[in-house]
Amino acid sequence: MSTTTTEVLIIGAGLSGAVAALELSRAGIAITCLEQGEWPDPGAYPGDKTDFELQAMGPWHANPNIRQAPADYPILDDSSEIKPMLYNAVGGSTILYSAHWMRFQPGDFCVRSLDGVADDWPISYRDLAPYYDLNDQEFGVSGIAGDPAYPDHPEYPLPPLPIQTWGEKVAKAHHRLGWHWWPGSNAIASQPYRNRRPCVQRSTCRAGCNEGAKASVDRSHWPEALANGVKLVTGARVFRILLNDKGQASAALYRDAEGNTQRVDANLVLLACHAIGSARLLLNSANSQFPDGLANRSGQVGRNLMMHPLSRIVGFFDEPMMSWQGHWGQSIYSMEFSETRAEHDFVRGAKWNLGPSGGPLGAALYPMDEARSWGNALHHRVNRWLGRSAVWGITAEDLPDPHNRLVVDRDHVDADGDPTIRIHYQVSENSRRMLDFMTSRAIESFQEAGAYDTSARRLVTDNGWHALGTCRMGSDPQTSVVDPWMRSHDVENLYIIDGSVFVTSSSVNPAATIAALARRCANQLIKTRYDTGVASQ
Amino acid sequence: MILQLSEDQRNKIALLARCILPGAHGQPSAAEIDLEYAGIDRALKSRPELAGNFCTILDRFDSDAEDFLAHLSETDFNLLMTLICAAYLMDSSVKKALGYSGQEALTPNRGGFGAEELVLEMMQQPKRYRDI
Ligand SMILES: Cc1cc2nc3c(=O)[nH]c(=O)nc-3n(C[C@H](O)[C@H](O)[C@H](O)COP(=O)(O)OP(=O)(O)OC[C@H]3O[C@@H](n4cnc5c(N)ncnc54)[C@H](O)[C@@H]3O)c2cc1C
Ligand code: SF4
Repeated sequence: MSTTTTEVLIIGAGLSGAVAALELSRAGIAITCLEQGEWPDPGAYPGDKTDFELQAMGPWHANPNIRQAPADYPILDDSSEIKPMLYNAVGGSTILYSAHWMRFQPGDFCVRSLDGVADDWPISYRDLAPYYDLNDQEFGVSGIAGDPAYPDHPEYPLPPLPIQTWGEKVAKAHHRLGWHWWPGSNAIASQPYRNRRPCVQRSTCRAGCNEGAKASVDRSHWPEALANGVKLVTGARVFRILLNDKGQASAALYRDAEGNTQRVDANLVLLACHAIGSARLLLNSANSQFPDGLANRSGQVGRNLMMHPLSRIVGFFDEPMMSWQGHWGQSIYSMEFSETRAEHDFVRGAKWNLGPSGGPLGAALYPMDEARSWGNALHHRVNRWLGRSAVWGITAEDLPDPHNRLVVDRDHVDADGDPTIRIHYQVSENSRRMLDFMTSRAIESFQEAGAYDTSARRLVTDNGWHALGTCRMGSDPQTSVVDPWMRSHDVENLYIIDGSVFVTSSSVNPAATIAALARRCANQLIKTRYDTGVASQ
Repeated sequence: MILQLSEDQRNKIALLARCILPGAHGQPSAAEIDLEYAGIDRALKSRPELAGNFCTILDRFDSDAEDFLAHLSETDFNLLMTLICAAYLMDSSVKKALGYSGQEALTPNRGGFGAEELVLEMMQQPKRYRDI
């Protein structure tokens, strides 16, 4: 075993790890980042190949249990109604994300005060706003400011991507209905931006962007961070965080690409392994001081998992729209039903995003309500779908429930022999009622837009893209894992900087908020560089 | 390594594919394209990990395609449909008949994003978010 030393150790080179690494490296701080995956090879992305759809259903699937790539660890999901989706490589899940770039609405931070459910965050929209603004520039977001669903903020650096024929139809429909809509804000370049080429609308974003138009952090952040001197070690799966005799995080043990155990000593440890990976690592790092998992005196590590239950509604139009093309990010979105309303039989709300509908194989295999189809019926299904349909994806705000949780399963191990994780997750009654309501409204939206038919999946189970909440933030160490600066209550120089810390989930996609939180945390560390309770070597 | 299909297996693929994808709606029948040879080989080259289960399913098939498809387990049905539909839909004559040229790199219209006037109207609306 070799031992190296660093000032700051970041575990995980995905979204939050990259944002923190770049910010800290600009301040000249010495950083080592350990990432279990490898650098992605954009030349291997299947988007520009004829078998794209077939590849996206297998080796490029977002579910690691289906993909089974060497960097993936098994996530036992038979007790989970929603299946996990993530990616393990430099860039993390941003390699596959659709890059919908959404801020939380202000009320999302205070749902207990507003609606009497869950908990308020110990921070507000105003605390995060400066970091949202900075990151909009860093990620090269395309969009237009002025949405009445949000406080005013600076203009995005790039104009919106085309909202496409389907977007115009639905925008007009919402105008007639008096419903909110807005051109999609996406971390996708609509024009050349820094080192990124503009989007070519190939619609294959969910399996890596061949053009480099999408802001996946392997392109938007890591090159500068490396140039600033960050040491990024790939193929390095951390399996344990060690404490020194002062109870500070002092080292991480990892297995390198050859399976050998290595050690990195550090003054400060930032955990950025995704809401599933971070909870797993903490639970696997249990020791005599923390028998239930590192930094887990509250018993909250792994609990309150939120997964954003999703409905998908397809609208069928007569007019050919070439709707297999178009960015997989959002063409338009609607926050019409994102807030609690007295007349609803559920609390909180959902975010709607409208997008293209993909190619013919997806159309042939899409699980519709009808029985199995083949023969003439199959041709009919593909013909009416291909190029003539659009999709509303509807994300329900998922409220935290301590029973929805991750637990270590010692009977099952990853490729290195370390215990893996099991998800227990059930969709709440509140979410079900919400999605029923939203589905009916989305059908109305499409009908008003001129769709001659619709097909709805009220609950899509293979969509756990937004795992959140497993190391919740709070001011009270009894009920939360990290403080408002994302510093662990129990281990003073351990920070958790990824989506684990979400107190509630909002209904919007989380990446912009994860990135803002990570940047805010990094800034605070820079400001208080000598006051972080560093581990003495 | 691509698994070599036997002639018997290829005949079965042809029978099943003709049932799944007959000529209709302006689309060629699976019989009119080289599905049970070049088509299925291309699909299996893309997804070699499916070959073993695919062959097991084929080996259970006798001759009544409709009945076989109706009674397959969900998993087996999906696997069979994935490979046979992919083999069909990747064929150039099928794509041409569909008017589908694959996922292409386009140059988006840089003149505007669409519905600009409606955005201006929406901008004038009162703020609609809550806060404390
Ligand atoms: C298909 C898909 C579509 C999505 N679309 C959107 C979208 O449109 N908009 C949006 O806002 N969000 C979207 N998301 C969600 C978004 O991508 C994630 O929320 C975000 O990337 C999470 O950031 P993170 O830093 O927490 O984790 P990640 O970005 O997943 O990074 C975690 C990294 O940690 C590494 N890691 C884990 N464990 C270890 C270990 N033990 N040792 C070393 N390394 C480790 C992993 O390999 C990974 O690289 C999508 C996600 C997916 C999968
Ligand atoms: S649609 Fe745009 S962002 Fe998506 S993969 Fe293509 S070029 Fe990249």
